[in-house]
Amino acid sequence: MFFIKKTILITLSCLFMQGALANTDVAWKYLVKSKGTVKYYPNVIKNLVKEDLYFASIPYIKELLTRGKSKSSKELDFLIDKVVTNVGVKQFEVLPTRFLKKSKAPVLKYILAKKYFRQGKYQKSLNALNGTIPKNHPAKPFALFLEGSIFSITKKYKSSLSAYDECIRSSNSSNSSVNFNRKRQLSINRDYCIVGKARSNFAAGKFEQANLDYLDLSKSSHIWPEILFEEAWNSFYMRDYNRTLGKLVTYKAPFISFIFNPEIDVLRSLTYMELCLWKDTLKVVDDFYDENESNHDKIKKFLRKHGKDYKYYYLLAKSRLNGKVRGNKLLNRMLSSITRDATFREMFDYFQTGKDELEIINRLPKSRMKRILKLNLKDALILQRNLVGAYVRKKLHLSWHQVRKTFADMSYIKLEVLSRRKESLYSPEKSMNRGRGDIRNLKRTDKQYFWTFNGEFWADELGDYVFSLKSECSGNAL
Amino acid sequence: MLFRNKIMKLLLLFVLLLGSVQLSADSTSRRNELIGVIDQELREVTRLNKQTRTSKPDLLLRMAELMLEKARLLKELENASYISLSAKKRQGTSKKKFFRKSNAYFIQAQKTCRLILRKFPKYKNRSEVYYILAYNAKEFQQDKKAKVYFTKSVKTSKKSSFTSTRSQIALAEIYFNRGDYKQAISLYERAFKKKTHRDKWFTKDSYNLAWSYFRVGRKTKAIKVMKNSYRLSKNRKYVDMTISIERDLAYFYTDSGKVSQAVQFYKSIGKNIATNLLKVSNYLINRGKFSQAEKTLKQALRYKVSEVEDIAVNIKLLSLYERFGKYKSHFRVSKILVNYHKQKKLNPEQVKVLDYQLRRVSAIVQKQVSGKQYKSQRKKIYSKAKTAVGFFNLLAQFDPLNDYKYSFLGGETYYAAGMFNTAMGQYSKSLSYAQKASNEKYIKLSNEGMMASLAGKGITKKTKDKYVEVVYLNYLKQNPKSKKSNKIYQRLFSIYFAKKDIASCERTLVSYKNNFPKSFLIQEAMLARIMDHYKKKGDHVSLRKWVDRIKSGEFKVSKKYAKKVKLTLLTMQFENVEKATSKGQKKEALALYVEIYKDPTSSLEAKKNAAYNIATLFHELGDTYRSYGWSERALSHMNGKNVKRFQASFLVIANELFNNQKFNESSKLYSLTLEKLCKQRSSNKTVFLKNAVIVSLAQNKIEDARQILNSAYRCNISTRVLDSMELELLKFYVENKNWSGANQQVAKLSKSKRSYKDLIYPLGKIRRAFLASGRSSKAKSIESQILNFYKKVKNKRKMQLEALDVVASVNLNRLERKIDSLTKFELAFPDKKFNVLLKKKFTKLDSITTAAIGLMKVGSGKGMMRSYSRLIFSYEHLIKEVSNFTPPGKSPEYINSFKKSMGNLVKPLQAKVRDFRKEALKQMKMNKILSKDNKSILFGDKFVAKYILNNNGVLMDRGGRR
Repeated sequence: MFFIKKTILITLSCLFMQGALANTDVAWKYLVKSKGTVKYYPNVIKNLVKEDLYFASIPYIKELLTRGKSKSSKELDFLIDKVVTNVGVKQFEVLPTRFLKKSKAPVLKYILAKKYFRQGKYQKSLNALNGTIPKNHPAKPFALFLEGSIFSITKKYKSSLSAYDECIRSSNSSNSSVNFNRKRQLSINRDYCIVGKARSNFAAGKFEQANLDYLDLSKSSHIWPEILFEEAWNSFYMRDYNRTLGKLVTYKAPFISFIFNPEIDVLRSLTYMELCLWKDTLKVVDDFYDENESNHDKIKKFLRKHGKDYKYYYLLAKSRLNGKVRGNKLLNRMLSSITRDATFREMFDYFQTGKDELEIINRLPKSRMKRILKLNLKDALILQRNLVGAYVRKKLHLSWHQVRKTFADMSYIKLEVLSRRKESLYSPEKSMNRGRGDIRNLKRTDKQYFWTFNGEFWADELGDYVFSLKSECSGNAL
Repeated sequence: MLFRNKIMKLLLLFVLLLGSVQLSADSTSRRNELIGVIDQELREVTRLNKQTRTSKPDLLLRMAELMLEKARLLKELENASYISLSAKKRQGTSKKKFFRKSNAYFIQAQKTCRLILRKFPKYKNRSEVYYILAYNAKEFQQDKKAKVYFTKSVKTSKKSSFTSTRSQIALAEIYFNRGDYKQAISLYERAFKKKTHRDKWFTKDSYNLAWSYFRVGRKTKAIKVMKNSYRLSKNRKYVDMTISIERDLAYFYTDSGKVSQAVQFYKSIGKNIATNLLKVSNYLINRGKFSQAEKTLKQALRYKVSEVEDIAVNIKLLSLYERFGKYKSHFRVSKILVNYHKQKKLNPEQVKVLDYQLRRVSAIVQKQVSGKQYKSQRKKIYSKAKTAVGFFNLLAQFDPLNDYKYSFLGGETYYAAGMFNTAMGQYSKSLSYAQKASNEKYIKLSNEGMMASLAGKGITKKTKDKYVEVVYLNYLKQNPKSKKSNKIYQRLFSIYFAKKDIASCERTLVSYKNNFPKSFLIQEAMLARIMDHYKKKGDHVSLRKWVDRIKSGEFKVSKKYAKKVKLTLLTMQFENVEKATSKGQKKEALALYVEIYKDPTSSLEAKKNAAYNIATLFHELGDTYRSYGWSERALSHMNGKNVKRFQASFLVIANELFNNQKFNESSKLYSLTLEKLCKQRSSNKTVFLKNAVIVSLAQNKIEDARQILNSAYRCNISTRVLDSMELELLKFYVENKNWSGANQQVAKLSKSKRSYKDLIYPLGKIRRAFLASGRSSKAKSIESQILNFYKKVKNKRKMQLEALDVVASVNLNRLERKIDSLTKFELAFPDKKFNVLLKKKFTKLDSITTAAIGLMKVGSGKGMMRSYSRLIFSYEHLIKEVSNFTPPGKSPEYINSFKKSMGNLVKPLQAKVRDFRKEALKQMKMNKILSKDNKSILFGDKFVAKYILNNNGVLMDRGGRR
């Protein structure tokens, strides 16, 4: 029996090999048949995709898009969508707009819209999406999110809300028949759309509604930790300062301590300021400067030193993923945050799966096709690696600027506090230094202020902490 | 109960004090805290500025604002500590250094503002930048600059902005301070339009505006604004200006002639009218509006409600009257205040003021009395004097401890006014007060005042008789040795003398002598008056008593007077002797003189006179021996001047002694007289010296002569005479063959150029003596000494012939040596050698001729003749040698020819010999020269002359001794 089973397995694998050989051979035949044109490239791509050689097929897709005259077909669109699902949109976003514009393929339209969006050309982005992606097209949920975002930015909150609603529905309905990657993408897309709704309401000044919308986001969501900060802001606008502080203190929990967002401290100090807790405000400011000022300078030098060495950034992120921690604490926090970022993870994972294609090609008999495929794969993978590196670099730059801006914000906050203190010194009757006023507030412990979470953390409580600080502002002063 | 109240008051005071200390400490700590906060802000802004790379003007502006703010606070702190320094320490402190911290921040703020304007010329908030610059300029007292910047700030700011308002106010304040009220009003009005911009200083700015209105004459408006500011001052939101307004509003009312409204105003606010009118008057005084101030004060007196107010108002009036010179009103008010003072109702400050005022006004009025202003208005002066004394009397009441001082000042004032009789009474009062207070100074001063008044014009006899003796005696008691006392003694002496009270005169003299021991002239004058008194009275005993006191040295009198006194006594002593002398009773006279001389009580003068008179009497009687003895005695008593007076007598006596061969006595008297005359100017000194030396030498007493001559060197006798005496001594040595003594004498005399010509002859003698004794080396040195002296004698004609002979004889030796060198070699052949030798002979002859001529020039007759003689010898020697020479081994023809040519050669020589003889003869005759060589010149070897002494006679020496 065992023997029979073994024979079957060998036969099956032979069959597979023969099949593979057949597909790559067919692809080769079409390639030869093309004679320098792209006429048979869809066939080539089709055969390569059949063999799960997605990265290897990218050069042909790109060449087809750049050189091809046809407005593309359903079949090609399907192929591209399949490839995008396995390699991500980034590989195609790098293509010039004019080539993307040529295609009528919904996926490419989505990519084009995204590109416009990134460039701040919201109307063009909307135009690219408008009626180009069918309702059941796999790219639809993503396109809807993009659409909602554009409406939100352009302050068309109503439209944005309906776009997000549709996005949530679309993302949920597309779940059943897709692969794991796509499932994850759709899940994140849905969450972002939920948050998008909250953001639109927040932008429209509907803080109560926004608050409810934020509650729709599951705590298990991949994006929940970063969105908690937005919730805190919303509470701040709702003047629910103790809730704001409670949400912010959650970032001290080990589970989500990887989140790097300097604005958390800005919001915390602002909240303290609103509560007229000057010393606490100044402490947050001073602590922020103490912790980050010198590291921030070092990071500047670090970024300048490595310039656009994407490979380095890729390797840096990779080493961080492997658990290697560098000396600069601030950089480490930035890297931790980046490496846990959904986009990064997706790009990084694509790159890893791209490497698997190499095994498939290696198994092919020595032929010109094999050599060409290897070259194609190499190009695509290098690009992917560089895309990952560029992403890491960009994020580091962003974070660095964010810290710089935070420094300025902190300084302004401090100046504000100082000027209020000064004002009270000039007019003693309006003294700021009124003490904490209430005996309960006097009994506050540091624990309440600076939550350590050591051994007393329950995951389901995260984000639900509420402080009980009393404002120390008198009626007429602030 | 009262005690409890006191405790409460003390406690309240303590709490208040504590509060103020606490307040000051609080404000300092608050400032320090503020500076701390600003420092933090500055750090933060700097950090932000760095982060944004100085690209945000807002940050720079904030920085400038903070610096300005810090500078202001620092300045407040610096000011506080500067004020707390002692005045002395403050003077020694550099202000620049003291305020350097705040200044540094002001400058930094300014720099930052300039940077903003340079880097961001279109910066939207540049009005604020200008405001800071303006504020800084104001801080550094650069008002013009401040004005420019404030104007720019106003121009660049939005009309509705706060910066615009505050710049307008600042600008208005500049105009206000400059007195440009119209501009200030316009700016204040514009600034006040924006009600929301009103800060706590609004009351103060309104106050300035009210003043501006007032200054431009808009008084009603001014009162309105001021009232509004007063109302707002009660609101805690604004700076409290009530104190200034309460004062100034009253001023506004009073200045507008609305005193009743002012009173109404104070009533309405429940304030004390008099007190506030007093404040107004203060203000008016400060503004220089004195008459209005006076009016206001008079009003205040009307509304006074307490003695305290009465005092305060009167105190103020006091200053006003003083300023106006209303001294009568001042006196009236002073009187009131002195009464209050007596009742101890004035506070220390008021006491101080009253004290100052009384002193000042009394001093002013007193000065007016003594000044030139009213000099011609006697009545006015008298009235002023009375006013001044009135003030002094008030001062005496005000300050009774010093009443003597003020009475004295009163006396002084009357004195200055020429009211001497009244002054006397005032001084007398002052004296009694001062004696009570045992104040020596014022006792003295009062006495002096009384004394001065006594000497004043118009002093009545009654007053004088009443005070004079007592005043003098008091004065002398106080000031026995003062300059003035000197005169007082004299006056007192005169008073006593006039009363013929000689005993008091004598007491006064003794007292005067004790206190003014060196005022000899006055003592002498007093003595003279006393002695004259006794002389006139013929009271010889008393006179003798006073003479003895003078003699004993108790009284020192002038030489003249002493002489006079002595003369009086001498006259008394010699009265009888003179009578005897006049009658030719010489022996009686001698006896009386001897008696006087021997009398131990006789004065030195008397003794001197007696001895001299005795000497002359004995001289007249021909008793040379006694005459010498008494002369010696008289000389022993006499000083130089006395001897000078009687020198002729002593010379006669000494000459008489010489004539009577009493050489020793004669010589001694000469030398004694010379000794006494030594330091006197007298032509006889030379005579005494010469006589003394010559007589001593004649007696072979070289040592005495030497001693006399040596002591004569200090007697200012001419060196010529002294040298001549020294030469006498030299001659004495030479004559006595004392060669060493002679040499020493030569050495002494050789120091005087004048003596050179006189030294050569004695030196010739010495030389000869040395040559004779074979000491040629010694002789040679003397020869060179002779030639040296001869060379240095300028007028050789004045030289003795013997001296010239000596010089010639010394030179002759040289001539002889030359002649020897001519004769010591002979002519010889061959012809070449002959020629050489002949030439040599001629050269030598030439040299001899030159030397002989030189010798002749010396002027010695003997030398001259010797020269001719030796010349003739030398020429003849050569003639003879040449003529007699026959060349050996030569043919006769040769010899003839040789002889012939030689004959020709000697012919001129022969002629020369003849000439020499002629010249010598001529000189012999002309100069009457008698010399040994005359014979050889005239006769050659043909005649020998010899002089034979008759009767074996001997030559006498100078002294006539054998």
